[in-house]
Amino acid sequence: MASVDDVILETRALSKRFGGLEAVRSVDFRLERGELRAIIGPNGAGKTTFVSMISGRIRPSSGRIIFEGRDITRMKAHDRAGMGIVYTFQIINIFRNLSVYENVSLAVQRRLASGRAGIFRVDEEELHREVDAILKRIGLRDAAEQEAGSLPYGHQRLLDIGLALALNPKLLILDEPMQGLAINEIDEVMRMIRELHRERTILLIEHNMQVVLELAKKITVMDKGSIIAEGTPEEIEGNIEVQKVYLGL
Amino acid sequence: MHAANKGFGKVLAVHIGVIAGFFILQFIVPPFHAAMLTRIMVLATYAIGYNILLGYTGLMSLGHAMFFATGLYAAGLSVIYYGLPPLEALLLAILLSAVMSAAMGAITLRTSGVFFLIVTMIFSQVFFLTTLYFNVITGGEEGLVLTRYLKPISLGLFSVELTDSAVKYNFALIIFAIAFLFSLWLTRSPVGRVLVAIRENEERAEMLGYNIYKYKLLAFTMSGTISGMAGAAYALAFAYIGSALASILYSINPLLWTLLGGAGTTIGPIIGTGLMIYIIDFTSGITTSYLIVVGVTLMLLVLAFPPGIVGAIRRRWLRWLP
Repeated sequence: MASVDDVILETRALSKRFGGLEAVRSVDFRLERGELRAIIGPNGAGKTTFVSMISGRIRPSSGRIIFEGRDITRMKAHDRAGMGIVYTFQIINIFRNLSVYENVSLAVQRRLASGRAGIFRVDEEELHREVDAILKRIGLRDAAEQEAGSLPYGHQRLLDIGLALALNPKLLILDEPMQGLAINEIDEVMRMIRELHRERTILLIEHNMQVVLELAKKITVMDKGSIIAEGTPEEIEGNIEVQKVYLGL
Repeated sequence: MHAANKGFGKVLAVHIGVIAGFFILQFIVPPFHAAMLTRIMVLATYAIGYNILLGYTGLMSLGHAMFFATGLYAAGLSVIYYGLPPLEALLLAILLSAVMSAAMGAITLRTSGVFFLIVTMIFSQVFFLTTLYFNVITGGEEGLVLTRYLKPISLGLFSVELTDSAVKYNFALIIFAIAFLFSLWLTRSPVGRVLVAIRENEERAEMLGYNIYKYKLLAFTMSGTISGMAGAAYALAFAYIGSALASILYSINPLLWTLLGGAGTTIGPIIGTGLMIYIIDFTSGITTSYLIVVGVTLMLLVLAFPPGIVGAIRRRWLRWLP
């Protein structure tokens, strides 16, 4: 059994019911530090609901969530973000009416301004340096003064991931980051995810199987709210159960 | 430094210029307009306070008369019944407004959108009816006049009387300048940036790790406190307190002034307040049904400048305006 230090995130019998619908059914899940795990499954499998409970956007109906050995089941979403669990939305979610620079600086400011005094004062020089570094990393330095909503779609996605990156998360949850991207944009986002993975644990929900097989070392398959398989890409590809779900055999 | 900071000299110059402009105007304009400007500065302070919530946080309240009147009554009643000197009454009023708005914020911010609008309005109406109910103390609708209770303001070696119109003007100017510069500071501070983030996309701001409720409560309290300060200044400068100033009209007014001038701009509330007060003054001199004229004018202005006057100017020409 892995020691506590190796497991960054664990869920125990995590469930979510929406009225009569059981979106997530008693899921036991473990994620090791430094992993790049993909969660796949057909539409409505409960993937987004599952990670939304981890990020704190949705309250579970029952079960527990443990992050770095701490029970965070009842913790508020903003506190979880402060602890290092950062979520990027399935639909691009940025401050569309603010400039690219302002977008990133909001994320950097959150990280720099810890403590009570921090909401009134931040080191502007440091803020600027860090924002600039992030902009460079996501390749949007030349677009810094542009309104975020006017960026091409792929760049908006990069900015969205950049916001998450600026928080320097321990666990980064990416919810279908490739959705709606063109092929060359997918390559760029994949390159970025690989680079991010060098420093942190990533939980990736993705439909694009090619992307999943290329990026993830381990894949979890969900269907109808439960985990039906877990293993290496090769194991998952050969799994009859998974083929049934995907091909309807 | 970043581009946003490079332009700060220009921004500061404009803001100091507005204050200096008001200062100089008192030596130029005839007494009637000086009195109008005194009124505009006090009410613009109210609009500046309102704008912190509407313009910079994106929360529309219909209950700010409650805070304006908290300041008004705190200052007025303490002058009348406890003989407090004006500045002490002002400080007490600011303190009470802060407490009042923090408490009200803690309750009303559990709602959002239309519900927030209605809940703030209901509490404000309760406050309004309370001032009527205790008319033995407050003077109710008729109100009370402070003139003979107002003590001089002592400034070390000499003292000044608030009944003097020049003192009134500069007292209003100082109150206004404090609120105006505070709002400028706020827009450039880390907390102000987060408030704008909440206005633009609350969900994203929360997922960036900001405690939305705390920030909203802070904005609500700052907004209510400045509104209360304006109310106190109103009581002291015009030596009058009355229930009409706690009525729903006084919740709607700062909303109109702010929207007309430009919500989310520092200068907009001042332009909006000034324009409305002059339009009302001008039209009421011509016809008794002047509110129709005011209404039509407002509609035309809002149609022509959806983001408000200063908002439109910023969009088209002066993108650097805060």
